[in-house]
Amino acid sequence: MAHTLESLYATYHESLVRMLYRRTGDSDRAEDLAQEVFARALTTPPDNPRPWLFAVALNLVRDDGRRAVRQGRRLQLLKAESTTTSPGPEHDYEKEQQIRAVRAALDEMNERDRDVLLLKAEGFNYDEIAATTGLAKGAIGTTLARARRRLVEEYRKQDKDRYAAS
Amino acid sequence: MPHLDEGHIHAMLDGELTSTDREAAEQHLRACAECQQLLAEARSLFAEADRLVETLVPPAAGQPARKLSTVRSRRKNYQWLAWAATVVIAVGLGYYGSALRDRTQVAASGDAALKQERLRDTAPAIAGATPPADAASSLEQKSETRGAPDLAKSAPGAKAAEAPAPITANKLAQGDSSRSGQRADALDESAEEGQMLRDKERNEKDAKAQAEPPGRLVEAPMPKPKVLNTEISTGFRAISLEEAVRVLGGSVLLIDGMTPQMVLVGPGVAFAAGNPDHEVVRVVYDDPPGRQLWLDQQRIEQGPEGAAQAAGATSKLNLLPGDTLVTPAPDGASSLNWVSQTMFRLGLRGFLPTDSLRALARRVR
Repeated sequence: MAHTLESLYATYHESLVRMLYRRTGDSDRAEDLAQEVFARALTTPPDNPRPWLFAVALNLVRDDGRRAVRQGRRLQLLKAESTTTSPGPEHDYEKEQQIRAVRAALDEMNERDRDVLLLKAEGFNYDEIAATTGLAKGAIGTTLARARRRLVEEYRKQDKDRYAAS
Repeated sequence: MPHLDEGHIHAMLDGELTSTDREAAEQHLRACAECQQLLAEARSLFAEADRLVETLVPPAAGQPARKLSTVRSRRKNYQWLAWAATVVIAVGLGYYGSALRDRTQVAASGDAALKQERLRDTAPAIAGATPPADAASSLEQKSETRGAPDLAKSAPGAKAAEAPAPITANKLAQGDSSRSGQRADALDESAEEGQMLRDKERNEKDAKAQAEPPGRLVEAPMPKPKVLNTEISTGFRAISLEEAVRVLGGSVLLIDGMTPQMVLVGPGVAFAAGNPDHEVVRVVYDDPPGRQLWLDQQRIEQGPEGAAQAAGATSKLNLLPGDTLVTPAPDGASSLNWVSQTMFRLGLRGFLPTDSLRALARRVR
């Protein structure tokens, strides 16, 4: 095995948790999913670790999301718990509103665009994004362009609605 | 070269174009205003999207070790709190258990005279007076029977500062009622305010403790309790329980299982549920956290005047036997006022929840 679990953890844990947090909006859940990813890396050592780790993480998020849809009530409970026990850095009201708007904008995006955008935010190049998502490398630029546009437009819409409401 | 598409422009901004493709794109851009416009828009989107994604930062990003240590420190705090709670509960149970035994002993004796004598002695004893020398032997006996031999066997001149329950035993075990009564009378002359009286007595007791000959038992200093609204205390003076019995025209009601710290008498206007024309007797207790708890009481007179009182005609609160009224006070305390079936106007006032006051009221007898 080219990479020990310890070195994988030291190299990718922070980035993986951050991506998972942005994807799920729940820091505890992100941490749990990351632990599961590294547990799987222990049983199936990856050759190309970064795309492998993030691909497994995104698959777990999708599986977790499907389970959550089936257990809608449980998801609500988990979300309620996470907002009360993990306030994180969102103490300031304005910042909290901005974070809500960004998260709402991300939720409006399709899954592929969102994943590509979040992987790029973690410093992935087009080859790594393609390896992680299964997309053709030539389609990454277009996907990213669409994802960025959609995120900004949705955010501005959320922001506009927020000020209109207040 | 055809116009650049948006994906091409973003790939260029991401540094993903090969050098050949990049040179071709830059050459086209120099000649194409439309694509320059697209590039400017793409740059703006690129920066804005990056900024938005960067706002989502997990709470403990990049600091797993610190998160772990935080969890550990919380666990330590809980362990510490659990220990503290255990100690507080144990001390509290011991204190109540001791006081309860005192009351049980008094009730079991069936000797009303003995009961009154002991209650009479409570006020001056709690005010901090040194037990008389001739009570030392009975003190030792009481201490031994209550499983608290430390006080009786304490070193000569030593203060029993950490043994509140045995001190309570001392107070009730003091037998010389005439000396106690005289002492209470002297205290009445020296101070009007109950709190001032306690402070003075404490100072006197400390001075006496320094001069105690070897072999004498010395009381520990009383902790200064949290005092209820002092304005309401104005006009009150400390009295013995014997005098309180005279004021009430009969027995004094007490909270079963608790030890009175002081007995006061004052104007009836200070008692919300009372008759302002008659004096009110106030028995002062310390609740477990060390704050004051008052039990105010007036006996309703028998006869025509008493009938009017019973009907609430002479009271600020029109309470009838069996009625209970809870009122909050501005100082954060709560008052529970009621009229007992034994024709007493009663009021409990303290820094306790209403439910606790009701529970204590059920123990008043």
